[in-house]
Amino acid sequence: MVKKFKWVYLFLLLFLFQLPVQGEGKLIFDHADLLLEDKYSELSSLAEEISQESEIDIIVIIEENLKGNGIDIEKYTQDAYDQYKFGYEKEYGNTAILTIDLKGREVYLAGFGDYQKYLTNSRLDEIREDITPFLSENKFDLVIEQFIKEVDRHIGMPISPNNIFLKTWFQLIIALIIAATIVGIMLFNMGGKVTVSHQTYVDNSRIKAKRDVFTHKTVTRTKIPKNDNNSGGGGVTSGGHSHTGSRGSF
Amino acid sequence: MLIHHTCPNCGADMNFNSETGMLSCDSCGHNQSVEQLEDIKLTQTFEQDDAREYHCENCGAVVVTDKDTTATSCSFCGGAVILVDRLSGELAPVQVIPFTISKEEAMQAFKKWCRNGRLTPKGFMTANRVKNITGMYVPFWMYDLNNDVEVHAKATKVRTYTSGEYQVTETSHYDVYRKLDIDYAKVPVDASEKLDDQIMDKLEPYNYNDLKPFKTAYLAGYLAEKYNYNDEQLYPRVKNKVKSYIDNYITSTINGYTSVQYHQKNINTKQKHSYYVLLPIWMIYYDLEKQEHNFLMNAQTGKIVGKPPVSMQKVSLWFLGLFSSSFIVLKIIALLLGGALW
Repeated sequence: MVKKFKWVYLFLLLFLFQLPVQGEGKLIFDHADLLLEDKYSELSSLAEEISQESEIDIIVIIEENLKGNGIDIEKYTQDAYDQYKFGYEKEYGNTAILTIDLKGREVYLAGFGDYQKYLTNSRLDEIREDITPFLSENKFDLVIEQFIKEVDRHIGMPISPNNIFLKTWFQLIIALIIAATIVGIMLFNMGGKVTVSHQTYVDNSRIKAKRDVFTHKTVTRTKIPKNDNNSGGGGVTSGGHSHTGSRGSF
Repeated sequence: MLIHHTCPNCGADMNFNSETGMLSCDSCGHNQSVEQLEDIKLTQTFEQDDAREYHCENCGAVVVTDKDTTATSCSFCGGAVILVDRLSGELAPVQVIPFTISKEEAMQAFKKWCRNGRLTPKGFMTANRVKNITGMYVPFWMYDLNNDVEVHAKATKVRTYTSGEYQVTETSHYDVYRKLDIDYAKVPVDASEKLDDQIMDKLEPYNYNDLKPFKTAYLAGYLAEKYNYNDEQLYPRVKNKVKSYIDNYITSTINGYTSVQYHQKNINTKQKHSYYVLLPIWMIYYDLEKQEHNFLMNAQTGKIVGKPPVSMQKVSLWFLGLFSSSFIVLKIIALLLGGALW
């Protein structure tokens, strides 16, 4: 087992060392030659533009076959970050990575740097759910475009842009409940209300005897549910960089 | 038997004055302290339900009374008459809280209250359509109660924390026992069958510092009634009334738990004393769009109770205003959090 992993690792490192030759500032790594020339440059410039705007490197890595070669997609993404020192205007800075394993039908989304606060595990889950339909239909250009736009949408938002509180229909319902409650209370209290209580008429009150006896303790343990679709969440890279993440299959 | 309080100076009728708290003569302005007056003590009690005819001692006209009336005014000469035989023996009130709010003050307070009606029709707020305003002493029973309370409950304290991959919920269970001794003093219950109990409960509280030993003179110029129910008949009502107070107190003695479930609650209420008292109210009849509305005012504190008319237009306006303003506030918060306008 350990031996096999070592092989895999060598193989992986070879893969990775190939990459930097292709140039600094590269954002989309299409190792499966999936995208046509013009689509590739179109998405690259979109990624470039949004990266500048949102101050985060948006990286997309497409691999032919990770799972089949025994490579874990999360580990692969971590190593890519360590290797390439991604980050907006600095090494190991803000980065969003989308890794796609074509044969393995797996996808991993990761957030690095300070902007992890905008790309939390649950928010990456939301983005993953958004792009999964396109993944299933093999529309990878749409996947990449959607990913870039979604990252852009999340950066700078203190809460998820999909949060129910930001939905107009939800705000309408809350406003409705508030108004109905207040008017209801006003109507109810129109004719006067009872203002006497225990305090009004109490002459003397005392506790003659009082016992609080501990009898027993019950303990229940529930496993904290990990998000379904085996999304592993974040972790720490070998290089010691913590990150958020969302993993799923398509 | 009827009594009139007549002015020792000029012989005119005297009425109770809520401002001075004395009997005063409208003709010569003579004031007389009520405390010094000797009440005529009748030993004979009147015959139950006897709608007897009384004759006004001033003018000799027939004073028309309801079977419960104890004080009224002669419909012919307007003189204050007090039906003393209905205030004697078993029917003798022990104490009374005199009027402190005069008719004029009551009117002013009522008009002010109308103007503050946020959901009442416009006409209700401005028009002076008070048809009638009557000052009346309502019969009440006041109870001094002693309550022995024993409570058995099961309570829990819940602590949750995460340990590794687990969410741990630790529930500590407790047997809780309380033995309480609660005394209530002078809990009032109205003893008139004509008045709605719920409305009367809303008129409370009265300030008991003004409780005075009963004198017929306090009734001069007002309506008054005798009780329809005696203290025994009303006892279940007062017991029921203090039950909610007791529950309140019980909860206040059991603190620090996440949940409390009562298994046994034994409330043993004992009556220590009961007093027959008269408490003052102003009854206001109000006409609006051919509908009559009744309001009661606590004639000691000025608290007003009654169902005012509701303007659907105003209700909708309030609703719309609150709805749109809370929506705008929510929207602004959402925008600050980075949400889109739509």
